[in-house]
Amino acid sequence: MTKLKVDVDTVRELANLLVDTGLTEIEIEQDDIKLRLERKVQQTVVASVPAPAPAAQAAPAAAPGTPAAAPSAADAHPGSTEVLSPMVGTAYVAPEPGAPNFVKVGDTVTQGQTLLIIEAMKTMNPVPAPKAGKVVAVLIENEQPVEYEQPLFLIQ
Amino acid sequence: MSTGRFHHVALGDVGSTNDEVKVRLEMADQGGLVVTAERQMQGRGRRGREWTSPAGNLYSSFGFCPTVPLARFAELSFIAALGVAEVATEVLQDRAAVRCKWPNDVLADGAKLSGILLETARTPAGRDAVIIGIGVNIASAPTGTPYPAFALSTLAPETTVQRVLAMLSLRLTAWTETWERQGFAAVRRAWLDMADGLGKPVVARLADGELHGLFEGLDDDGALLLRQDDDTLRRITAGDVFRPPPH
Repeated sequence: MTKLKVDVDTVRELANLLVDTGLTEIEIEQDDIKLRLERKVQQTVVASVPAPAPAAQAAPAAAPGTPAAAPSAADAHPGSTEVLSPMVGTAYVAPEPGAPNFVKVGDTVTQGQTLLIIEAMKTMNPVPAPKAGKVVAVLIENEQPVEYEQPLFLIQ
Repeated sequence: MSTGRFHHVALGDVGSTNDEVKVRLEMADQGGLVVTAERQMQGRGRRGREWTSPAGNLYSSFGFCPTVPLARFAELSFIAALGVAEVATEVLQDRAAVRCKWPNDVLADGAKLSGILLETARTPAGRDAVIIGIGVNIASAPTGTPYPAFALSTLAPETTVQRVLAMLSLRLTAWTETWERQGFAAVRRAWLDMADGLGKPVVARLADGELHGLFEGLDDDGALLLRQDDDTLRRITAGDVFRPPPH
């Protein structure tokens, strides 16, 4: 079921395609496998994760916890800006329980757009995007405790 | 009527007074202000909870740009609660025991008499601002709430919205100025003097479960210190804290 259906040759083909086209990122989805390639200056990063069920067709963006969300994600996105937590508290990625998330990986955001809320002592602190760009990584889970200046998002 | 460092803007029906202040702070840099409304159509509490807002109670939001860094704005939660607790103590005199419940609930004889929710915002000039939303039950208290609620007029029928607003504005002016000049220590001490259940068992309901322990105190930044059954000390910055139900 979770056995990779894409072989090395496919990955190589895609990697060549990345270089040939000058793209920095390719993402394909087949059955329950999602494959994403990202090109850095001289390297190719391969990230492969099980896609989250058929319904994911409607919302194909990577969820928190995919390789793109690993703490080392900043290295994989040269030129990206880290959004840091302005206070100690608890992170909320949606305005209220059950509501859609403020943003997800792949979204384009405008400067000042709310990315998440940090709560401390019933003080709700919306964290704005410091610049316009694309959300390339979400580094926290919903309702996770965060420290002062902990990286929350990467924006490119 | 003096409202201290907060310029008073009185409105009729609004969505929420917090939103009214937020719009004004984000539109123009200005001094402190307090917006009050006769009723709120979309009053809200923590994490999307509704705050019913019939006429006769105080619905107020205080906005200003503190001289203290944003990372410490959450300390204002305790200032807001202290302000309300001091006003309630004065209004009720000896008719009920007023206590503060972490982080910013105020209780009279164990029943909740106010709701407080703070938000941060940024002015056009890029200054960090805070909005302190404070509702105080004066004429009526909601029924059917998961906790007992209390209205000041029950024991102090002469209490008016105007009087509570004036008293609260002056308390908040004094406390925020002390906080800006001297830091959180004085606020923390005054809040602990009025704290409910200090040293007693509490249940902290967090986003991901419940923790049981003793309410040991407040950390230097206002986090609740919970002494757990295995003797570890846990800091809590978000969640609801209750006295455990009797067995």
